[in-house]
Amino acid sequence: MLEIEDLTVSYGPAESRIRAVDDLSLTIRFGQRLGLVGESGCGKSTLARAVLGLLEENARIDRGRIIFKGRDLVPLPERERRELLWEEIAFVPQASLNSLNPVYRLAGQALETVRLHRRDARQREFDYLERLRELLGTVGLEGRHLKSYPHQLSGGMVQRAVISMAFLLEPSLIVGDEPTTALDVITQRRVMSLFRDEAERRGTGLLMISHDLASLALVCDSLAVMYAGAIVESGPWSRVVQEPWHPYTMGLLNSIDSLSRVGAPLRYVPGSPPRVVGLWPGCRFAPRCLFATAVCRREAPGLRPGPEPGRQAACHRLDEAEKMRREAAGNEKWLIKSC
Amino acid sequence: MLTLRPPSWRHPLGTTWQGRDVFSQVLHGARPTLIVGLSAALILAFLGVNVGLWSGYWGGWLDLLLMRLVDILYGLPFLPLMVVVMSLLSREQKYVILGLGLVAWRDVARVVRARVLALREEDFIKSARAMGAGHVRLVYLYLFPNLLPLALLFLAFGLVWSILGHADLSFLGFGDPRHQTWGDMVSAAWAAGVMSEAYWWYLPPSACIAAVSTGAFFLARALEEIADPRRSRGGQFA
Amino acid sequence: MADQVLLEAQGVSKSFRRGLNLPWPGLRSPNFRALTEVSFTLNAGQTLGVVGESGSGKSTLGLIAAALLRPSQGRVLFQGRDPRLLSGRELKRWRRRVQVIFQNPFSALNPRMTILRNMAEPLRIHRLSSRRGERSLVEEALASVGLGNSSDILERLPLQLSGGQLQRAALARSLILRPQLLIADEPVSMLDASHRADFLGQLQLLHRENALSLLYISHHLAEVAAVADRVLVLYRGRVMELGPAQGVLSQALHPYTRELLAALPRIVASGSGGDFHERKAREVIDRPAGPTGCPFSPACPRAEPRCGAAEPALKQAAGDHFVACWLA
Repeated sequence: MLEIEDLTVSYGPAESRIRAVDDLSLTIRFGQRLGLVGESGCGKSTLARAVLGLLEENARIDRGRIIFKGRDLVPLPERERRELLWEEIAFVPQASLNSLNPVYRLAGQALETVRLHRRDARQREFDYLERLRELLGTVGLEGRHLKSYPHQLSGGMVQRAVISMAFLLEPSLIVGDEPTTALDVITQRRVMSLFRDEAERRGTGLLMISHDLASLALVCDSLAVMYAGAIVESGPWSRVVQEPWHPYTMGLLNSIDSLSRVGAPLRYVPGSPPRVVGLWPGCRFAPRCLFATAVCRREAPGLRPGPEPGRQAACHRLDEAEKMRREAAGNEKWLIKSC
Repeated sequence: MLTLRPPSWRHPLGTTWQGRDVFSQVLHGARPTLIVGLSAALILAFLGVNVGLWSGYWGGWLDLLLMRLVDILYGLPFLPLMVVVMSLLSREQKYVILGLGLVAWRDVARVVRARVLALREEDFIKSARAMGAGHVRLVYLYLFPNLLPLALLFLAFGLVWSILGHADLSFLGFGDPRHQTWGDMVSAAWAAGVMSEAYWWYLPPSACIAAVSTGAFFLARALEEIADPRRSRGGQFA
Repeated sequence: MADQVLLEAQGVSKSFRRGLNLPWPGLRSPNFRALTEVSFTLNAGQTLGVVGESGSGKSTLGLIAAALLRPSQGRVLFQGRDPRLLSGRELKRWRRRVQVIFQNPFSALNPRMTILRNMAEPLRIHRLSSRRGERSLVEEALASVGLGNSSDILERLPLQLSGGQLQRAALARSLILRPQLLIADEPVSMLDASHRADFLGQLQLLHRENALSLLYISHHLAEVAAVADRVLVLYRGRVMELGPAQGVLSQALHPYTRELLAALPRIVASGSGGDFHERKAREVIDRPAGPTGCPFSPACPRAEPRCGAAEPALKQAAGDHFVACWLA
């Protein structure tokens, strides 16, 4: 359904352009629920905005194609892009409280969007409202909330309302940007369950972008890990999470997992991602990698397939994944000493 | 006598009804205008910012009191009030300055207070309190610097208001007779009834008033940009 | 030393008046009770974790413990003394012993001061150092939180630093006065998931090396358990459970605690989790001072009639593990 090929997006004034997305390729099939995980600054939000056509003024797509249902979105003029938005591709942004107009009630805002896309909106207004009411119901919000203003609802409720609105026009793809920030665990759970249930029911494809891997577990069936502007590993969720191939994924999982085990030592990946991409010819993760060799520093590994079908990782030492995993789990450098 | 002559080589901007050189009058008129303008602007900015700061920070009875005072001031129309003040006191320059400054601060106070109310809830203020910072420190070292762009903007606006207010007063004949301002010149031209012919007499001072006002505004914008920390050191990207 | 009571909350309640604030009784709007009868003790060198969802009152509790907010009822004693009774000067000196760090790293430092200046502020407020001496003290503090080798950080402004760096700087700033108690309100919630372990490890280190007591507030039970010795579970301003971290996690006695545990995001989703009761119950935004009974009963999967009738008191279940539930 969505195929991104060699996408490069850069920012900034002409003298010092920074590449936020570097030669990135990604595929999402119909009905697939992909979680895109990465640290802040890795370019994931930029990627989302590029797909939606919501890039900022000073950002530019240098290269690549974004093919959605057979059409390349990159050269598309603004008007046609807008038609696509919400009808085919919907967006659930971060901190939704800020994305709703505070002086309009929920029902009004939802209907406005419908009117923009469907000509039968006026006659069938009642039908749409009913559907919205139904959607809200599955999420624990009552029909009366349709008449509420955003500020009258809590952050979690607004988030769920926005998600319901996203499903309203039955898009093929919903892009969620950090859907669970500022929500506590209980609300997170509810929000993500809603996403999963609705997407499953309608066969909607999802692209969930977050730095919080664990929060996406409930929703996603596939995982793509992003680092410094490119995907470093991708594959089915449970496979990647249980047996990662890329050292960065290993470190990430160790770190997040260590938090849930009480009494266990905490783990992390020291250092931080490069601010500027493309400074050296080798693997972008090499400086922080426990297993980097001379080859790694010299030659950048592209995403390559491994022993299992449907999985890829950008690492020269793929075949040693098992060994690397064991090493990563015990290595001192990735352990936080606190005794 | 070279009365009411259009611009010539000897008198670049012509002469007035009384044969006085317009050009030199314009030059001389700059001084009182700027003196009054700047002084009044400083007074109103100082007053407005401080009232806004303490009113917003302290809240409670102080806020109530000060804001009611502001409300009262809002109820008084500017020019008639100034006229009354000038007729009661003598028409000296210092009273003009005071009058302008003491009335115009109401807008500044309101806006500053609103900003303070928002800033007050920020974490770094709570942290500073937790560290033991006293009231004066919090208000002037923490709140005020974060209002600096706003304050500078009001300083420039104040300059504009004062200059225009002063011009209005002069035009109405309430200015200080010892210091002729641009407004006085326009007033004189009007009084002489020569508005339709002697354009060289009232156009230059009017243009000057407009120019200084606009200049003050641009200055404020420039100061605002300079004072903005984001500009000076380059922030982070997304 | 370990037995000395550092912080003690006694029946702390806090209400906020919403809407019109007029002194006339007839015109007052109903109160919002953020906290009701919260009590706990924290010994020197220990860490207490406070867990609850949004709206549970945990942040309010933190602010009261830091004497940045006054309780409506009850009191909080630090080393046996009530900060409200201290004089201005004594209070200022007291402030050196208790420090706070907040959730949002981006608003934690004064945006118009350099990092150096931001961190020197506590020293200047308490006149603890000369201008020259400041720099080395600040560098030392930064080193203790892992920002030691970035010496160029000192001259930068907050907007030039990342969230993780800012939060560490905020931590360093709070430590520069060598406090005895640090109150941390959701310190890692706004950090990247991959950086949280790092920051928590730092806190653990400081806790153990400097005998720094922590009051750690969060909505994430596992995170809290990683740092805390004892855990207090808050729901709508009331204590539901209080006990040793290990105990509360392995044998959660209160249904709400179990719900919090089940709601924890796990890397590999384990289905819908047996104990998680999808609370499709009526979502009420603000419950006014409601009817009698356990506040959790309307949403509790195991609620019985007696739960709605009377509110259970916090009683001892085993050792120092307490719970407020009729069914425990």
